Amino acid sequence: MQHYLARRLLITIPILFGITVMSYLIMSLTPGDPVRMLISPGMSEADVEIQRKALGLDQPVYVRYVKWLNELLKGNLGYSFNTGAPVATRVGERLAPTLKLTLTALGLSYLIAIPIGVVVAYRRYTWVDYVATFFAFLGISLPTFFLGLTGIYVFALRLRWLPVGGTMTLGGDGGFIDGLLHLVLPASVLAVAGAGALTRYVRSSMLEVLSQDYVRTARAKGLIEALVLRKHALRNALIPVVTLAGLQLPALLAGAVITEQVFEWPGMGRLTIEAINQRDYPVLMGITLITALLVLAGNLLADLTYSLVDPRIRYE
Amino acid sequence: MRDDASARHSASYWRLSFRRFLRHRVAVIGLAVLGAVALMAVAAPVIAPQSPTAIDPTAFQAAPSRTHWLGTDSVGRDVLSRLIYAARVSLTVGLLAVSMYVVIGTSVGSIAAYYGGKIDLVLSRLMDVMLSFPPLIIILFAVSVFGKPSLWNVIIVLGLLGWPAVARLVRGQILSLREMEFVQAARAVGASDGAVVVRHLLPNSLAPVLVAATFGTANAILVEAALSFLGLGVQPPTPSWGNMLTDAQSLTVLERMPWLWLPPGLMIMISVLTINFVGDGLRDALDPSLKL
Amino acid sequence: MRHRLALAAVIVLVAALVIPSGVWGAPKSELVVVSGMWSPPNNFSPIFTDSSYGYYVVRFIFQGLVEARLENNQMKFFPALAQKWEVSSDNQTFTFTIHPRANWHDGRPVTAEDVLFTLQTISDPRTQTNRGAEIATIAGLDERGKRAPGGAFGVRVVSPKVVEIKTKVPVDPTMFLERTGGNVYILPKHVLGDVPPDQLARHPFMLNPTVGNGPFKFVQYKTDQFIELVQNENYHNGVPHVRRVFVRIIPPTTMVAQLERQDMDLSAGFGIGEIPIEDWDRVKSMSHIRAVTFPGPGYQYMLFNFRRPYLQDKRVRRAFAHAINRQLIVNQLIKGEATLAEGPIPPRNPYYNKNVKPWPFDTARARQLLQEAGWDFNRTLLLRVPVGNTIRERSADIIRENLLAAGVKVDIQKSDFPTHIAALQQANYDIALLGWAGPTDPDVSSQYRTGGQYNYSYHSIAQMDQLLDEGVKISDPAKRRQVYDKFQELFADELPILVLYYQNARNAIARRMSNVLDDAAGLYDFRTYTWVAGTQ
Repeated sequence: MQHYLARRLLITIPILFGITVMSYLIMSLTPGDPVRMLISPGMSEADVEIQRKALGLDQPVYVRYVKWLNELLKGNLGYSFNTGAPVATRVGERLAPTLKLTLTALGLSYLIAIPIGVVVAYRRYTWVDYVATFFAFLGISLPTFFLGLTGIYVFALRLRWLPVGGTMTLGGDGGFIDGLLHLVLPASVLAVAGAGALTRYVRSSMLEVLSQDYVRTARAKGLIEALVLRKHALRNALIPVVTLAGLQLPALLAGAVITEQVFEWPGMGRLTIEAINQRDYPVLMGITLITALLVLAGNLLADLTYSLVDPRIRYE
Repeated sequence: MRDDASARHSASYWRLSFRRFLRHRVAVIGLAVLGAVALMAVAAPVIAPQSPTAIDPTAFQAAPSRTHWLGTDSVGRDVLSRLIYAARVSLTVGLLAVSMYVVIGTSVGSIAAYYGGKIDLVLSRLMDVMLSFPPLIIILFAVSVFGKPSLWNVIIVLGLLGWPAVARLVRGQILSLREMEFVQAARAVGASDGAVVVRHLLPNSLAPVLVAATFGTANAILVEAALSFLGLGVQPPTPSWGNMLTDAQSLTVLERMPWLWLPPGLMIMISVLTINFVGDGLRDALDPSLKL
Repeated sequence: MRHRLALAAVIVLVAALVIPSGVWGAPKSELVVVSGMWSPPNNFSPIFTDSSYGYYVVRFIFQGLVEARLENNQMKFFPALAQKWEVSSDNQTFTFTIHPRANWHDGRPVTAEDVLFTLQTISDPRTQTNRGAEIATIAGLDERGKRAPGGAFGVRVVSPKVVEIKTKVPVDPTMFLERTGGNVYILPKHVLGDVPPDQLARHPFMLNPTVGNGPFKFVQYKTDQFIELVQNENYHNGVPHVRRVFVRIIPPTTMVAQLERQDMDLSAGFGIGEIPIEDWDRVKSMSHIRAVTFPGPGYQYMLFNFRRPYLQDKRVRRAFAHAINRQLIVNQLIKGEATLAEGPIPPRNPYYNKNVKPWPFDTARARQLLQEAGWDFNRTLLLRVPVGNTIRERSADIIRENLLAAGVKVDIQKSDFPTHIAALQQANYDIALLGWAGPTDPDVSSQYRTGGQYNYSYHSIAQMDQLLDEGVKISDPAKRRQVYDKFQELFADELPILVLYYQNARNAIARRMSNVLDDAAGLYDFRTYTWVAGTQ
């Protein structure tokens, strides 16, 4: 196990290196010139050249990459082309809002999906199942922006229970309740969009478990149905579903691009879009690097969980 | 290599499965509806009352009427005709892109999990690398590589972006199945690797893959619209359900012009629901242990 | 554990139901104003922020020497940092006297040294700035506004509050006052004086400009959410009536909701915060909102790639002008909120030539012109469309149908903005759509002169070059007018580009606000300190 862990950690280094090389290359080959995105009419070619030089874009790609890597090893992620702020700050200030939004949404979606998934598995092919199926697919058939707008229309405009967007009331004290109220709508939209698929995963996982021998044995022993469900079926059915959450970690951090945009949420997804629209390479590299680290960490965790929940899986 | 006997055995397995599928009523209905939608796509020029690109200069965002049964869109085009034509792009993208990444993802995932060790390590890291790039950057890069936009490019890009997630799902599933008694038993009787994977491991890990595939289909239909905005995929004025829906990015449209979003939304939903039911039927049919 | 979470969710839900609506809306006093803009500014550098979002905010905090304002098609000047200014009789020397009580937000006086420092910084070849063109007429600078070797710098500190600026040659005073006087915001020398010019752009001050000189002081910027500003109680031209201003980042789709909830009082204005066309009627029907439109300076146009031999014949380009139903685009897509014109000088500009009329929609005439020009009706053109402007994207669909009716086949290709610009720069297109903000000064050389920096059509029309060169040299407005009248006639004849429409600005102003100028709800308001806000 320790050997396995050491090897996995060691291999991370060349992989990260490879990812940065590839991202750098892909970015430099993508059409669009960051300097052009910074200039305004009235700027002369001379100004453009000054800027190109100031951003280091007058150098060939490999020189830029080596410089970037060199700075990275010193712990410096560079400076945003767009705002001039350090990349670490720009990416760092997005982490908290993104985590707040996506983790709440993840929690909510499990809260919705597990009970429904279990019930519909148990009552498979009855009207309960079909109604739940219908709603699961309703969420996925409409784009997120549409769900978001519907939410705003109903809860912010008609009922006036919740704010339209943002993370706090302007001029307010930014208290806990205020923050919570701003979180409800975007988190629910994300949760509803995610819960549909999750319900289906729970359902299918549950169905599988219900047909396993040990559940049949339990039933045969005459245990009450509720106990069978809780003690035997549910626990085993949830293992694959929970590991799914681990796999979702990087996606969660990448941010919920559309939801963040509709609800004025200052998360990673919006930063990514902004950086792409401006071709802000240093920020994009920062995002890629952090995403990569999280993907690798998330996978390692998932693999370790597999062997924990199922002792038969061993890594040599 | 399988011998003749197991091949014959296998053939009867498929025939049995097919018979089980036919007994699954909702699945059969789903298949029929899906077939009807597909037929509508193929026969679009015959069925559609008007040209999907012709502009009616007198009716922009007009409500349903006798001339335009489902109203007109923001550029004065007949919504019903666009809806019918849109089935072509949306169904092709939804079905082909997802099939592509499910096939790749399932193969890579099962190979990685079944063989483990170095193979697993290499393939898993490949998935990591794929998942680490911001997808938008890959898409923009693809636009520059492909040059001219086409439907096939969308399918390729969606396929490339989608497979690692499926591969991980399958890998996780097979990792735990691999050690189960029935698999050990199959191995002990001397079944070949391929046979073990195809006959025992895959059918049993099919359930989550089918869920991923049905939801992936809906997703692909919607993402196609986003891709055509970035210069990939079908370009205007070719309609797709996804790009018809993007017309509705407004609270006013949402409240007062349901004909702009309801028809494409419903079509996507119907397609995905039927695919889901067909998937359910397939899974039940292929997995004989599930008899409830 | 699961039960506890479920319980928490129920409590939240119940709380939401019980708490009366409105309590959680903006607890705004009558002195707080929220302005909405679509995207976040990149920084608040007075000499180097993006062209519109950043400057909207910068203008609250920083000022130039004078404020330029277009009133009844006439450029008028108001005191800003300068209390008064004099123009020498030869139109070559400008003397500005800074207001005696004009102070920085930290209490230090604004001095002639600050003006000198700002102009020196902008003209330093190492500085990242987009203000170079605004000061290029000053003596000692080259045509890009950078220090030229040899010549003496034309800026002189006369006394602590008096600064004198000399130009290379006599200039149109209106142009000079607008550009150098109005568009150059003054930097604090005592804060930034020791920063190496090449480090200025990423100096923390540019994201936290606490030492300004304008009517409002910078409080904080919550990235991507809002900028908070507070009144400068020592402002020398009068204390603003509004105590606090929030400039909030609101996507176009939810602006209408924020207005309805009274969580937004103003849209930031032309090109940076306007009401989407779909929601326009709805906003007009809101009783607490004044929906305001006015002709904007911005226009949408179609580029012809002159590197394609088949687009070099002007009959072909005129055929396109006849083929495209621009009136339909204006009437149906923009609900009439736009003007047609056949040139790059906006109808609201004093130099606009009223006698030049747009070519009428006439498919038959278009077809005939194409035939005369020997057009190959089997050819398919590539129409490139940048995403981001919904109306422009929709207009592409109409353009395609119109051209098809005249016999020209068109393939549309959309792309994101950076890719689009890259394609234009590589001349990798046949026809393309783009938007531009027309200038107040009629000089449009950078777009329409041979080899101009933004001449993405790559056209070269000798007579046009001649007129443009002549126009910038003349300092007498009446004579300039004649030249630009001719230029506009020539433009309509040659059509190096095809102007599609001049879109009206669509702004919303809360009725509780007064003293907000109708045509100046945002970007073009230089008098934010006179806003008055009432109770909701």
